[in-house]
Amino acid sequence: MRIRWRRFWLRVDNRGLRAKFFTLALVWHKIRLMSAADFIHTTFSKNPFAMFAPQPVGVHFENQESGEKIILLLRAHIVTLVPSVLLILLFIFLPFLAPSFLGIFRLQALSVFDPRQLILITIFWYLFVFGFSFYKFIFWYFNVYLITNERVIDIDFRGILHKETSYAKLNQIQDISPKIIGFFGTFFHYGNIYIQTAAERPEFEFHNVENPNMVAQEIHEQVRKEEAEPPGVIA
Amino acid sequence: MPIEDINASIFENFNFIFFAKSFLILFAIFYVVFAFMLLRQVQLMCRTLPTSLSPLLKFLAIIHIGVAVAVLLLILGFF
Repeated sequence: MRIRWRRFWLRVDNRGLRAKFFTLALVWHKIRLMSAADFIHTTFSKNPFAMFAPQPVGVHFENQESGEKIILLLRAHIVTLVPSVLLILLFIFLPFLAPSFLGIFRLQALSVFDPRQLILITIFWYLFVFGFSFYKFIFWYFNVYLITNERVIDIDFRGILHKETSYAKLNQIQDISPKIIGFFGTFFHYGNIYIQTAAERPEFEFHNVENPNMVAQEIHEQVRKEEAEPPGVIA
Repeated sequence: MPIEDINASIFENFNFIFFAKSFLILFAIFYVVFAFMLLRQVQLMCRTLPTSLSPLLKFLAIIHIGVAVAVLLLILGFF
């Protein structure tokens, strides 16, 4: 095994590739040695599509207080988008399948249209598919959960033109329970987090977030820090 | 009577093209309204959570309205 590895290594004679390999290995090793808290506190996520973004760069939110920092931004796990993606794929291929599907019932509805009309119908169909995909995407993208150094925030958009934002101060948090349920949750390591609070909304639910245990640990950490601070201080 | 002929007679009686055009125009009008609502939604979302992707999303929503209106006009004019 060792000899094989050495042979492989000698074959990689490109110095740039070796350097990249070393850097990647070093980063991976560092991440492995890090605790969850260290990982969250030393990483600055620049990926705008991240579903688990520690200290996201270039992200703010409405009513953010001065000195308030986003520690963690969470979105629903990407696996939860699979049904929508499959539906969109079906919609994309439907115009190709429609003639043969109608042919099964010997219906020749499409033959009554001339080619110009068929092109217009197809354009309209793909516009609809784009609109549907865009709608699904923005709802996934903007339905986020934020953990800041002061609060836990749940930004919820339900349906068109319906917005709901809930805040709970860290010192109002009473209990946090992460739960991973089901095959997909266990396999892809995502789940729900239930946060009991003394705020106006008694329970916060983070749905389908990646790595719920790490998130719960981080909330505990932030709560501990907040309790150690004098009241009214934002740090 | 073969089934193809029955199909043809049904489509002739109902004036299928007229029915399809009316349906498409109605649907396209609703779609333009939906596109405007989607733009408002994107603006609302971007105001709530500004990210580096917000300008691109707003741009896409505006383009979406433009294309929806263009398709409506095309259906009205050329269908």
